[in-house]
Amino acid sequence: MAEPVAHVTLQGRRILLVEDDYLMAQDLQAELEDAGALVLGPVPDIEGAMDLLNTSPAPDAAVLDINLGCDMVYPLVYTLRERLIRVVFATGYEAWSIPERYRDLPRLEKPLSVRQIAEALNRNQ
Amino acid sequence: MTTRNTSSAWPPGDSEMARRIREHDWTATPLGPVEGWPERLKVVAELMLASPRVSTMVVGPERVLLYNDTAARLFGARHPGALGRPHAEALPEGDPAVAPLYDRAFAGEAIDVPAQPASASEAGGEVWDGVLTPVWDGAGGVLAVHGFATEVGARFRAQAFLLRLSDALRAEPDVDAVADRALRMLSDELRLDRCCISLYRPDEEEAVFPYQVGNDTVPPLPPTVRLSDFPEVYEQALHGTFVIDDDVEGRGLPESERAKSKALGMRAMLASTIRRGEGRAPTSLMAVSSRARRWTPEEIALVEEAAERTWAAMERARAEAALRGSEAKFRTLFDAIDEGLAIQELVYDNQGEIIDVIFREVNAAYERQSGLHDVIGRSLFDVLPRVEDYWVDLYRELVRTGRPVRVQHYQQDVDGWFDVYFSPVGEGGRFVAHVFNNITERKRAEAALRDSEERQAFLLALGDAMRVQTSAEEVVETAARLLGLQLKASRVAFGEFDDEHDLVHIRRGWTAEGAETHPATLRQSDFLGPLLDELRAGVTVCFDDVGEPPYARPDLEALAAIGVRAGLSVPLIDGGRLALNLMVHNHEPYPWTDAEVALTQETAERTWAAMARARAEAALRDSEVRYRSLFESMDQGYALGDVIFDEAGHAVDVIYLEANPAAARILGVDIAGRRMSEIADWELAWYEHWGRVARTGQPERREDFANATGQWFDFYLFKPDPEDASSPRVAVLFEDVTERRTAEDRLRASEERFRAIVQTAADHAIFTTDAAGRIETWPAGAQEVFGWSAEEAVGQPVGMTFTPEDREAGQPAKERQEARENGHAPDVRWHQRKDGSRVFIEGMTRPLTGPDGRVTGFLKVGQDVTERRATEEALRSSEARFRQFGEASADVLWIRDAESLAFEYVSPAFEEIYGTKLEDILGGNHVRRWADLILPEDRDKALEALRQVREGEHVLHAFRILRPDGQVCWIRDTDFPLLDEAGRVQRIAGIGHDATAEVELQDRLRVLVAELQHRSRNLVGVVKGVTEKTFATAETLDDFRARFRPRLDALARVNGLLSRLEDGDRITFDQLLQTELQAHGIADGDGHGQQISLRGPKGIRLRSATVQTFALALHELATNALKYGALSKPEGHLEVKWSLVPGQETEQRLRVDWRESGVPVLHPDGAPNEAAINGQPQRRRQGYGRELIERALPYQLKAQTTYELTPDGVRCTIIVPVSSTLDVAFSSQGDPDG
Repeated sequence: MAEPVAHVTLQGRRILLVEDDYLMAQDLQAELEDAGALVLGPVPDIEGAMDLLNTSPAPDAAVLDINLGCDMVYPLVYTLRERLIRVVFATGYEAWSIPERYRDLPRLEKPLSVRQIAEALNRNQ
Repeated sequence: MTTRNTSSAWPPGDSEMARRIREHDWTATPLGPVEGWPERLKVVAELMLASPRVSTMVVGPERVLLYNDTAARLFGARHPGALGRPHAEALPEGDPAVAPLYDRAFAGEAIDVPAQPASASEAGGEVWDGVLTPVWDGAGGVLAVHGFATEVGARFRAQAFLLRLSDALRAEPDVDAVADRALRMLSDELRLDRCCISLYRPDEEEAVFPYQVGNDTVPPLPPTVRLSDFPEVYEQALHGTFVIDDDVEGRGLPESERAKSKALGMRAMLASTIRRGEGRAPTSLMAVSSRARRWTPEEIALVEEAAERTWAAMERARAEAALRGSEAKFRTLFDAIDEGLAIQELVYDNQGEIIDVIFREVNAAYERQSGLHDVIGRSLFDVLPRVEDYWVDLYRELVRTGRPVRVQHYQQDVDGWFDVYFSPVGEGGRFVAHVFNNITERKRAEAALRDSEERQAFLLALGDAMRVQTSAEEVVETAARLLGLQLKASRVAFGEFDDEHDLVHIRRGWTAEGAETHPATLRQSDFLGPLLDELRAGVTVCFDDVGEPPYARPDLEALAAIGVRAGLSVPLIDGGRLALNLMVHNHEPYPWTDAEVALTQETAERTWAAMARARAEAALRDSEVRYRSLFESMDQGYALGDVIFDEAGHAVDVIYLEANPAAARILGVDIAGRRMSEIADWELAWYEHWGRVARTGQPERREDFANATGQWFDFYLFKPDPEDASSPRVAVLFEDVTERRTAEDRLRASEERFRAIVQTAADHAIFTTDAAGRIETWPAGAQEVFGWSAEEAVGQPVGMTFTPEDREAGQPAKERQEARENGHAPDVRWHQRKDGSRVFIEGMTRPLTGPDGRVTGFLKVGQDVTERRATEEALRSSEARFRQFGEASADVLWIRDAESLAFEYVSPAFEEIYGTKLEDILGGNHVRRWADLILPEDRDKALEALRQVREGEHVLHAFRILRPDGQVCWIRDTDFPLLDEAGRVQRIAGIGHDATAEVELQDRLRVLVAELQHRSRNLVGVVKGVTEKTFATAETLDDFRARFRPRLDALARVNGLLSRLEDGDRITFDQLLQTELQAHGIADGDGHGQQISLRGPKGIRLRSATVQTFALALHELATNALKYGALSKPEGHLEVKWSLVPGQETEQRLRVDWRESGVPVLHPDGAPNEAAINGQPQRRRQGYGRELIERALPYQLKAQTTYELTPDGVRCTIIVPVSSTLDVAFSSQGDPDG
């Protein structure tokens, strides 16, 4: 089921993964790692993400679930943008339900594929 | 020293003096033979002989003289006898002068003897510089003194000449004179035959000789010489001083040039050339001799120096000439400008204080403007003795700041005003220029203006002062005093002419302190003459000086007799004769100005007027005393006035002179002193009444209505003095008779109205009955309304007009009774017509009374309102229906006036929907009160909708309101215009619907849709994750299927549970557990099963976000239990216990204990000895259920879990957060908008 990795260029990229659903997190982590990425996390919440950001070398990018069960992920986006870390949303929400100021960020619909993530991250680079 | 001498022959040399010393017999001298002379002496003697200059030696105490050839020439006749003899004998003339010098030299001193005139005999006028040097013997003694002298006379002469030359040239006024003078002086000094200045013009290839002097031996040089004729001379002259001693010798000149020079008469020549700068032509000063001449170095130097000085002097003269030209121009300008210009030099003392200011330059205008003459070289303090210190301060300030200063200043020395502009000139504060204008004229004009202002001020003061005076005497006195003070006169008086007695009575006037008082009377005949004639002609008389005795005229003499030297007199002509005069007298001659004359005239005019007023007032006061009480007590209005006629003789207005209080009361205003036209807008006729009485003297009584005041007046106009036909004075006595008149009018009008109504009102039945109710009169209106003719009706009882029911009820009698008692009785009921139809009458029955007060009959007035009533009835029922409809409506129905937008109708639903009482919205400004309820952001749109509807559009719009209870509601309004018959928008109306629920539903649907998407996408993600996991551990496709299907089913179950949830509901743990166990066939619908026991409270609500994973975990536990655990064998048992336990802080958590027992574990899930495959045993090979419990639940749910495999079976504990009251429903988990 793994994506063909031939065109996926995530080799050596450090990617922070924030996803509250364990199964999806596991699945995505496995796929990202298969594509050569170094996965930071996954973590289910903002707190965990902040801990990682403060203790590990900065990631190149972050893949964020928007709805983290109890919280929305947006406060984290602010921090990531401040640190110039690229952000990709992974969500089931339509674009119109995302706050205006975050709509310019790439938004991938679940279920995700590594190819989509790689494309989103490689875009505008 | 070309001749060689023998050694024995001393001294050597072939000069005359060497020879003579050799040949001299020295034995006879104190020196003895030459052989015996000391060597030192001989050496010095040899030096002496060799010197080309004057050189001498005196030897020994005898001072024997030796000398050389040059000295020999100087000694003249003393030579050769002087040789070898003592100095005193040898040169007796010079010795006394030089002997003391020799004494000092022999004492060992070397002496410088400057500018010593030589002995008079030998060398007339020659001057020498000498040095005396001791010649030592080597043993401390002086053998001899060596003398050495240089002739310096030529140098002295040259210097003296040059000094004279410079002085002379400096005095010459112009270039030509300078040149001429220089040439002459040089020519004389050097005894030249011709001397000239030549200018070379290389461009024209020529030299010119503008200046030359000379004698006949050398003819004058031609004005120009071609340079090509003297190329060599020119060439050499350019490069330095060109000298020709003798043209025969030449200076390497070609033969042709020598010949040409000779042709010009030149033999010897000296030319000193001066070149100044590249651009300027060289100039030579040429000295020419007709004979061969050896020019000495001194002569050459002299010519060179003279050339320099001459050239410099010519340059100076040229510059001065230019300067003079420029000065002349400047001077012309200086003198031509209109402003006075002066340049002054400031003189300072040692402390740097300005002590004097000297005029250095002034222009013509200065003299003209300032009136000062011959000021140049004089001190400012001398020219203007009364100059103030402030000028010096001004100069000081000027010098200090270096900035120009402008001042306006009155200079009393010259009695003028000046506008002066001071400016420093040059550096050092030495000179100051000032430019000034005499602005005296302007100042005078300003002063005149001020005079005029003063005059106005005076007249104002005069007017004020006189107004408060009540008697003519006081007026006169006040005017006299003020005028006298203003004019600084000696006295001011008023004369009253009494022609009958040939007298002038002098009224009280004013006399200055120390001035003579005026006689009380004068005899008119004493003053006969031009002055009195003029006064009588009404002309103001003015005289500056009556003169000294003998007087020219008797009138002047009479004036002088009463102390008048200068005077002014203004006459008042009254009735053609001189009545009064105002006199201003001065004891000294005085030049009256026009302004003063005018002022006096003005004062006189005003005084006359004030006197007249004062007299009139006095008369009035008398009159007032007499009549005041009468006037004031009178009820009748009284007024006295003068009629004003226009040119055509029509009365156009009246000035009220006086009026009594009653007049003011009647007219409502105080009229005294005012014009009639000011009181009201009277018709012309009113003025004509006054005019007629004034003209004819005939009194008039009238009664008239005045539209102007709305009053009836009864008035009596009369002339107080009927004899005086010319007097416009008329008095009036008047009363306001309005009340009487209107009462009469009302009566008359009422009768007329009545008649008109009765006869013309068709829908009014107006008729009378007698006291018993029999019809007496039956006019057309009654006939019309009831149908009976007059014949049919008159005499019939009034009851026939009533309905049978009313008749039976005795209504006609009751009505009459009521009318009798109350004075009227309403009659509003159905009546019956002749044809039996009914007519509704609104009317009144009144009693008619006779003079004695008894009721003689009744008047019935009624209007047929049947039709109106029907219409109103219909309208009322329509309105009622509409109102019912509006009041039943859940929506707000409203109607507004299109113009004012005020509500005409608002249905009661308004209160429900807007949460506001109707009376709150219907007070004040309806629109604003309504708009205030609308949220500010929607307000403009809502108001705009109103405007659109008013324009005739139908508008559907929605807006939010904030109800007073804080609730925000959506209102959807359907608004439309209500048109009148002409199609104009008369009203606007609308239906307001509370759309809050709909809007909220819409919003909620949006959220739900968003959530549904989120959830379904998530679900796919979870399914994908499960698939991957399952796939990773499946060995075959069947194996995959076997594992995957149940998991998918579990997901489907929990999603089924979730989808059935109502808003705010949660899945409870027991529900979840039971569903899962039931699906595996372990438990039935009530949670019972043979091998299981479930214990725990129902209704523990789970967080929706957790249920999916939780369900999967339970599913795996159950599956494992069935496959490998307690439920795989009949003897096994599963116990699930759950309860709420305290979590962090106030949070509560669900604790679940899963206990399997009775069956040893066959498949130890996640056992440590499980083989690792492809290096990732934890992830790939760990049992899925265990992974979910140990990892997924803590990860996702912050759960605390344990999972043990005991010999008895699986023991698993799960502690998870539960839904709290704060935990919101999934549908709004997180706000997508926020």
